[in-house]
Amino acid sequence: MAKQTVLNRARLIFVAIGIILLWLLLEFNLFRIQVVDHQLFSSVARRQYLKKIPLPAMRGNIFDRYGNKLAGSSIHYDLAADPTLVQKPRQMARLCSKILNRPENYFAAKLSRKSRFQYLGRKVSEDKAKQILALHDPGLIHFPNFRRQYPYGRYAAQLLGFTDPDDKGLGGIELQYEKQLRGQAGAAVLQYDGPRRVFYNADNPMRRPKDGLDVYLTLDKNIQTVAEQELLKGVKKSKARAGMVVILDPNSGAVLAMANYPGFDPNRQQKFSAEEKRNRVIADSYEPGSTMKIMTAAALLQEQIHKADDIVFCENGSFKLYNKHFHDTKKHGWLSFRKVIEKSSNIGMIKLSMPLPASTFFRYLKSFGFGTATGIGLQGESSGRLDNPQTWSGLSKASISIGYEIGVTTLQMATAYAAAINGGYLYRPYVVDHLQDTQGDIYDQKRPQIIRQVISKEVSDQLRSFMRGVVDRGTGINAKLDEIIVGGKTGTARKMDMKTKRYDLNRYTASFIGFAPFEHPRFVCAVVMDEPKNGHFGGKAAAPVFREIIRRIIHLEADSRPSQQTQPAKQLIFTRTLKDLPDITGFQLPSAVALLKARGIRYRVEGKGSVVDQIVLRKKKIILHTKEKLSVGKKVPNLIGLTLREALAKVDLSRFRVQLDGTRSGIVRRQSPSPGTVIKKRSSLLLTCR
Amino acid sequence: MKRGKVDLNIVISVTFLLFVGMVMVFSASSMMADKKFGSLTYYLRKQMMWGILSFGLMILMSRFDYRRLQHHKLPHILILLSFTLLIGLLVGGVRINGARRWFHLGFMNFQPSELAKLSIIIYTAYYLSVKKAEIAKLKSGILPLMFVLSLIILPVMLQPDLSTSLMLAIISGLMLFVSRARLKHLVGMGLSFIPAALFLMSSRSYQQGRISQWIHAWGNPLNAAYQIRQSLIGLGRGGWMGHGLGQSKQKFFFLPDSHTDFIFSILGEEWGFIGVTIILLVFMFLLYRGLVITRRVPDAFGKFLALGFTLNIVLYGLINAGVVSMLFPATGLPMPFISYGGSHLMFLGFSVGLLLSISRVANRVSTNGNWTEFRQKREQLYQTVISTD
Repeated sequence: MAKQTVLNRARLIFVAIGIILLWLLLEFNLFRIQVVDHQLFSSVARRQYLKKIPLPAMRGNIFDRYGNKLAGSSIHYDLAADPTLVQKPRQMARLCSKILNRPENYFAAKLSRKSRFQYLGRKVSEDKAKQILALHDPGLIHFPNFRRQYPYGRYAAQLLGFTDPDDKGLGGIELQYEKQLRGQAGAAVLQYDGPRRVFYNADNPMRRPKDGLDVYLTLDKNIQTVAEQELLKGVKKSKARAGMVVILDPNSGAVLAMANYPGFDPNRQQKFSAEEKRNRVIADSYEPGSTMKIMTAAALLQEQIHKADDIVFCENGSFKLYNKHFHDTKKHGWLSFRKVIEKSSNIGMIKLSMPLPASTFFRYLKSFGFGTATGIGLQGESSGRLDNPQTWSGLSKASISIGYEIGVTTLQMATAYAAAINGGYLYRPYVVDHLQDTQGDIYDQKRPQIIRQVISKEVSDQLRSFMRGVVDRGTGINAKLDEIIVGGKTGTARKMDMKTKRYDLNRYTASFIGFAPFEHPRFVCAVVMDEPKNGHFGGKAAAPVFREIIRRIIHLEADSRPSQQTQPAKQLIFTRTLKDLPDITGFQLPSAVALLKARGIRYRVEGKGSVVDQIVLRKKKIILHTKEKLSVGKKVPNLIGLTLREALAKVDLSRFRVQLDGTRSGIVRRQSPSPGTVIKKRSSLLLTCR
Repeated sequence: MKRGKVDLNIVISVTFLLFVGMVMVFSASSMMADKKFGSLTYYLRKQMMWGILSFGLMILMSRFDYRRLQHHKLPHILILLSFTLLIGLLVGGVRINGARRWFHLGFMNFQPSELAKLSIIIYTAYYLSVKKAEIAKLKSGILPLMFVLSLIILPVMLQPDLSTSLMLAIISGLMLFVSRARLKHLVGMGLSFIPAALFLMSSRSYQQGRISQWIHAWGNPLNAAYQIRQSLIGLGRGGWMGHGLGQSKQKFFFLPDSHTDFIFSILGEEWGFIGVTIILLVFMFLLYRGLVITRRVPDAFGKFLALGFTLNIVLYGLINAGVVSMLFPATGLPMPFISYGGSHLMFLGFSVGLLLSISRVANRVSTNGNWTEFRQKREQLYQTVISTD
């Protein structure tokens, strides 16, 4: 024992081995974390550093042909609360119920729930939201958002369509052009550090939102207004179940107005039924009755089977063909072809069309566009009904010649009439003129499109004079105007009872389709009344509506556009705001606000527009000047102080011709034009370097 | 006395670690320094100053003959001083994060537990070298030492600084373990610690919470407490090779204490598995060198002292890495040489200096003597060891 060392060697080795084992364990653990679970931790890390702020694109507006906004977007707020954070739930519930028009218990119940997120109201207007936000309650959450607005309410509502609360198009143009209107949302990726401070990271450049395209319609707001008002008046007067008006430009097929009754308000679309949202003008087919006689007459004249003065015996009001009796409303004897149209004699028309072969008649009807959709480019268009001549019965031709056994839409009738009076050219009707982006570039410009010539100019002139006669002395006398010569044709059709498959004795479709002015028609207007109770004749229920519409629109100058406001070139105050604040000019207001908020920058909004036009830094606060639309044209970027290489990288060379002055290297000292000048077309940019 | 050469391996390793420490402290702290002091290099400058001071102290101490520490009751004085300071701390210490661990000295915050650590190692080495085989005895051997140790460890525990007190117990316990103390005594003492530790833990709910959270997190590391979770995210984000110097994202205020106790996580994020493995290998190399010195140095005081310092450095390194990678549920331990901090660098400089001083003696023994003579001597030693076990 004397030689025993002080250190116990075995225990020392034991300790050393223990430490080595500990090291191996550590290495194993580190390998597990760093190598095996690398993906997991990387994604967790990314999630906590980066926050994606969606920058919503503004949905495109819908304008009429003169740039009147028929549908647009404005800022609204989605209000929500985190009930666990709300300090004064009762006060908030009371205020909400006052402002958002719902019972107080509704909000009280929401605010007492144990969730962390409860919607108080969606799409609350800015004024209302501000009142609630004035509470400064920490539990309030609000998101700026767009809301679709239709300034003209019910006018052209079925044509324009409507959107759901998420601004997704659900009908009409809104649905049809959903993709183009919607645009592309952008995103900004912000980097966060631990205590949730945000900074902009140049590695993740912001994807600017691409606003939706604006849709310019061929509609004329003024004509639409007249059509809506007169249709409503007419429907009320005749106590019709429904009514439709469509006004076309016969020389192009452009739709100038499209009105339906009953209608709906797209601003509150949830409250209306599908019945009210249907665009009857294109979706509903009906048996036109006598208005079809013009097409029959067109075929007879074009085929030179009859002349205008050929006479026919009208059987004194009752005519039996096979086993069916046809009647006239009045007993007529001998009538000329012209008079048959003017008096709208069914028997006369049937007898006149007897020599017309069925297949020829069918060809004409087909040529006028019946039995096929017009191709106006709207969803839900009906193609009507036109049977093949092979399936026609012995009575079919006679029936069709006076407008039965055929189904047409109001638009088809108007289009066919346009062809009948404009020299025989069938135009494809269209309602969207062009699309336009915020820069003013135009897409999909529509041109009038002639489908075919159906009849000759002479026949067309003949038909016009027939229709003038209808108004002057025939069934359409109610459409007559003092100061202007118009033409048209009445139609009164019994409606088929869908149960009994027989024509009803007291349900009618009354219509009047006419044009004006007589010499150089600018308008074709079709008025259709469904089941008028107060005078069921087309001449009584529909013709006065036509007359009033024409009376009011005929004096509208073709060029009634409001004077185009040109944007004055404005010197922008360029401010080096906070170091890494991206250039947010041109941003939608909510996007800009979201960005500033996320970064905790104080801001104030000036102006009522929805696009940030300029940003100014004043007293540590960012002032956002807004404007309805970004001015067309491009601003000259600020290049002073940059190296030439950097400067050239910033210049959009498609818009500027760069000229250099001084040395070809170094730093840009001067530039002309100065930064912020709005450039409308390609122009030169002089850079002075030293 | 003729001086031998210092162990250059240790000097190089320690210098390397100090250098890595400065680089990492700069990388991890620059953002915070900028925010707090408006200067990116605030912590770097301090760390460089302390690093150089510590290096100087190391050189200085390597020229100091460690054997003189045995004289003039120096170990006793150190223990008394530590005890006094620790008690004083409970009264007048600066409260940081709910614990009184610091004296505010104007130019720096002084941490008495660092001094206590030094004292305990020196005192234990001294005591074991004096008692030699007598340590096997209970009353005259192990118990008085236990009493002295608890004089130091208990106040540290009461700061409260459970982690450090545990480290003190482990290091002194291991020194005792490799002495001639009886196993049954050691086991007995160790077992008597368990109820005390359990009592302490149950009396502090935050300790309990921390440990239960630690156990929970084993299934899913993302359940871990915030700091540990951020530490793991940093390590895991590093992968094999890491993201490169300065590329840590966790240091952007995600990971608290990223330049002090959790700097190893930033290291893992920037240098990956390869980087942390290199650092750990350096620590293992230090262990090896320390054990070589322990074996070569002839006197018992030198052996225990070298072992104590070596264990202190290596265990701190490994356990810090274990804490950062959630292997252990503790916190509050710096990574030797790398973490930011003045007290701990000065203490390390002091202890490495002494270790180098011991290595001079060890090298003189091994190089001055005739090689064959040395071999024979060693054989003889081995036989002795084998025969006694």
